[in-house]
Formats: sequence, structure tokens, C-alpha cells
Amino acid sequence: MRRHKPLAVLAALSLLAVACNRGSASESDSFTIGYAGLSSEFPFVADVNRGLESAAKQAGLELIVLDNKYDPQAALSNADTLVLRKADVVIEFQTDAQIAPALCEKFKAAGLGEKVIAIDIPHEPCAVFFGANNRRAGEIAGEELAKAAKAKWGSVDKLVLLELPQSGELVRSRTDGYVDGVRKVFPDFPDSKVVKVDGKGALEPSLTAMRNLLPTLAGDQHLLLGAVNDPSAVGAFRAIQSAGRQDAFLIGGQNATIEARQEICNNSKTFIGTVGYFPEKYGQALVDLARKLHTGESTDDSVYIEHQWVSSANIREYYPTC
Amino acid sequence: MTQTLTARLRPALSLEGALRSGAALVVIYAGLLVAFTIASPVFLTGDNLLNITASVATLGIVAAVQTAVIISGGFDLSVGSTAAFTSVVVAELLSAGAGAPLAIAGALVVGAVVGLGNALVITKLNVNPLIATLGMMSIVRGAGLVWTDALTVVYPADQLAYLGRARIGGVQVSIVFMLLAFVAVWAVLRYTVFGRFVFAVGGNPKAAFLAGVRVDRVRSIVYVASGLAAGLAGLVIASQLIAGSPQAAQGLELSAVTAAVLGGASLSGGQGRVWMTLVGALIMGTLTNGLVLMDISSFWQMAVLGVVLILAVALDQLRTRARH
Repeated sequence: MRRHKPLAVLAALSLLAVACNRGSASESDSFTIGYAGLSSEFPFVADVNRGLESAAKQAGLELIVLDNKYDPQAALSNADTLVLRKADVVIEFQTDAQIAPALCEKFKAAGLGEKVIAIDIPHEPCAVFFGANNRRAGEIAGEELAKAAKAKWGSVDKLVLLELPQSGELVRSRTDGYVDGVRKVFPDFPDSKVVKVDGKGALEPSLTAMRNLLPTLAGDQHLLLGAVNDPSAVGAFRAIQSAGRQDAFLIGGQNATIEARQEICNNSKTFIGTVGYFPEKYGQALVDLARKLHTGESTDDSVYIEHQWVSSANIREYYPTC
Repeated sequence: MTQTLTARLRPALSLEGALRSGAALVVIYAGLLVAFTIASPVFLTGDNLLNITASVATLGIVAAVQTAVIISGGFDLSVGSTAAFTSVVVAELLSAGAGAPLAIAGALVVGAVVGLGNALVITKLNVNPLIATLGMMSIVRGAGLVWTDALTVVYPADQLAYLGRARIGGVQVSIVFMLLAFVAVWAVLRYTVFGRFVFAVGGNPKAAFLAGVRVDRVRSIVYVASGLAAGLAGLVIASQLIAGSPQAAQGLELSAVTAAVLGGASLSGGQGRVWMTLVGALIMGTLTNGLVLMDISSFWQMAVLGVVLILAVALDQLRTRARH
């Protein structure tokens, strides 16, 4: 029996080592994601939140969810909270690029400098960008609208853009993208034919803005309308319907939200499509990216989601229930 | 005859008289119309003037009753949230196949219930109207967001078109609703005993109470009416958008207060002219429309509307001084 004692000790130590190894493997598999969302009042953000919560749950990860409330100060305060609650990887979703260095400083001081993902707004110098390719998304819509106009009318009198100027350069590049897209079909389309109006990115203000703008477009019969997002595009569409000018417009939106999908599913001849961002799919991609950052795998500096033009021809592929 | 006419005109021709009678506001509005007519060739067209009026329809509906609230010495900052919430109620009912009559009734009942909630908090708990309705604003907005998960609720487009999208003789029905709201408030304030009580309660609640006026009851009715108006505004919004949006009508409450004060309702209560509120609302709508037609940046539009808000309060102060 005594002869076997060293063997027993060795076996016990081996079992302990295996158990310890198992413990460390499980620690690397399971980590905490700290997520500060833009504001859950926005349907797009709500979709991102739901997708992320579901993906984190499936992966067995702990997810801390905070609300930046579209407020830079709240974002700064939430960054402190995420550090305090010992998040291993941080996902930031806030639109004020000016406070990105301050956020990065906080995360760097907490040893998270290389483990930050920023949704839709670059957070240099610390974060991997994840999200929309705004210029490309605008370009897709502009090109599709222009192609439809060429087939229907052969020409375009004006391009009306419902902007959200207060949201800064990045989102502005989305509306600028519409012009790029139109010029792919009509290369000489001049700047003087582009009319920009602030729709505030929402249904009701866009309805009012378009209602006010329509008298200036009374002489134009071949008009394209692009908007920064779908609520804005649909709001403008309501004003156009109210004025009985549906035949003079072709409209395209961004985000493929429920308001636009309903128009497309109803085969609207005026509201012909929207660019899909599929926020409900952000979650899984974000979790995968967070895992790479946590384990120190190399990633691209920017990870763009794939945009698709969603029209009556393909909407049921993406949204089967319409 | 000439002497009588001169005597009648004299007060209005002085600054003091102009401020009291509201003539100053009409002159300002006329000046705006002239300026925009010169600046934009499409401004003074029938369609555009109808556009301006339609664009202030929801504002007008709530501002008409807000005038009565302010005359009674209160505020209702919950009207924007209530309008948004009732637009959701309408859309949810219609999308569930409830039918237009039930949706209309639902919106009005919900509006009235919110108004009653305000009334109870103000009269029974003695909470300042500003705080009570500010709190209600948050509660109702939050409830709408929770209910819908911040999503717009769409309903079949053939429903409820007659409320916000239809026209009578080329005039949008929403404009008719707004005018009816103004006529109703004007008639009540001008021709009923209750209307006189509203002025009395706002002017001096203690004196009104001592004179036998049931102050709390008067205030409660005014807040319920304000909730009803917000419900009607929500109906119009839902019809115009063919959807209910929990985020609609942002800032509607402040616009309504601005229109009422611009029109002569005194922030200290007891004073106000409902038709001048309509002019106030039209000034705000005309400014936005004219600046868009002139292709002025939306940032400048915000600044200009801020100036209007300050001007409204300054005019109120000048009127108060003119009275004393």
C-alpha cells in the first residue's frame, strides 16, 4: 500500500491539473460583454439589443446592458459603470464621435484598450468599427432609384434628400451616397438638381418638411426621393400621398423597418424599396467579434455589414411574413 | 359717427391698445406673410397656405384647449406624449381589427383618462401643474415605448382615412377639426358660465372660491378637455401617418404653450384669447414653411423658433405692464 502512495499522489495531482485546465478553458469561453446601447427608444437599436441579448444568451455569455440615451454624458458615465462591473469586452453604441477619445481613455486605463467594439460610429483610437457602410448604403438606394426612373421616365428632374444634419458626417455620407448612386446611372446629374431638407429622421417631422417643400416642386414630374431612414421616407411619402403626387415620385429608404416593409409588401408603385441593414443579425456578429477580441485573435479595423436592396421582388426572402 | 369710430380705434392704435387687443400679433403675422411672399414665388398660393394650415392642425387642436388651461392658471405639458400614445392606441386597435368607431372612442377615452389623471394629481395632491403634467408626460411617453417596444405600429391603409387624409372641398379634414376645436373652446369661454369660471379661477383662485366657484372641479374639467384634445390630435396623427408612433408629437406641448402665450394667454392665468392662439400657431407654421421655401438651414429654423418663444414671453410681460 505504501508502495502505491507516490502513485496515488501523482494521480491526484494529475486530476487536479486537468481540473485546473478545464477551469481556465471555461474562463476563456465564458466572459462578460459590456454593452452601452444608443437609446432603446429607436426601433433599430431595439432590434440590435434583442439580437445581442439572444446571441449572448445562446453563447452562455454574461451581458451587461446599459442605455446611452443618445446623450454623450450618459455614455461617459456608462463607460465608468462598465469598467466598474468588470466587463471583459465593451461594445459602444453612441453617435458623438467627439467623445470617443475620452471613452477610449477610460477603457485604456482599465486595460480594455484593445477590447472595444464601436457600432456605426468610429471610436478612434481604441475600437474596432462594426456596422453600416453608410456611403455604400446610400449609393445602393440611389442607383436602384435611378435605374427605376430611367426605365419609367428616361430622366430625372430632381433628387430630394431627407437628411438628418444634426447626426454628423458619417450619417451625412449616407445621403451623399444617394447622389453617387444616381450618377452611376445619370453621370451628368448636377448638384443643382439635388434638394436637401431636414426630416429629422422621423415620421411626423418628415411629413411636415415634405408638405412644406412640395410647392417648390410643383413643376417637376420625375422626382426621386431618398431619406436617411425609413420613418423619414414614409413620412415624406404620406405628404406626397396627401398632395396626390404619387405618380411624380419614386421613393427609397434605409434600414428596412416595418413602415417601409409594409409599403413594399403592398407593391407600392411609388415607395419602391429600401436598403436592408438587418439589425436583428448584428447580435451574432458582435458576439463573434467580441470573442475574437477577448481571445486576442486578429481582426480587421472595420467590420461592415452587408447591405441589400429590399424591393417587392425579394422582400419575402428576407421577411417571409412580410 | 366719425368721432365714435375714432374713439373705438384709438385704443387699438396705441402700443398699449395693440398689445391688449392682439392687433400687434396680427400685424406681425401680416408682415411675415408679406416678407415670405416677396422671398418665395410659391409662398402665396392656395395650396401652400392650405399646407401651412394643415401643418398646424394637430398643434392647433391642442393649443386651443391649452389656452383654456393657461387661462385657468395651469399648464399641460403631457399633451404631446398623450397624442403619441393615443396614436398607438388607434393603430393597435385598427390592426387588431377593432374597427374605426372603437379606435376613435379608444383614443378619446385614453386622452380623457390621462387628463383626469393630471386633474387628480393637481387638485387632490396639490402638485404644481408644471410638475404634475411633466411627470405625466414621462409616464405616458414611457408607457407608449414599453407597449410598442419603440416600434411604429402600422394598420391597414384603408382605415380612418377620413380623419387626417381626406379633404372637404379641397380642405384637409384635419383643418376642419382644428377649426371646430377653436370654435368649441371660444364658445365655451365666451358664452357659458363655466367659461367665466375658468377666467375667474385663473385670475384669482381664492376670490373665485370665496365667490362659490368650485375651483377644483373647474380645473379638473379643463385638464380632461386638454386630454381629450390630445386624444383627437393623436387620432389625426395616426390617420395622417397610417401608423401609430410612440415617438410622435415630440415638442408639441411646448409649441402649444408658445402658440397660446404668443396669442395673449397670460402665464399668470386669467387672461387669454383663443382666436389669437390660432394666429400664434399660424405664425409658427408659417415661419417653418417660409424658411423651408427659402432653403434656410434647419439649424437656423430652430434658432428662429427659439426667438419666437422668447418673443412670446416678452409680449406677455409687455401686456402685463400695459394692464397695470
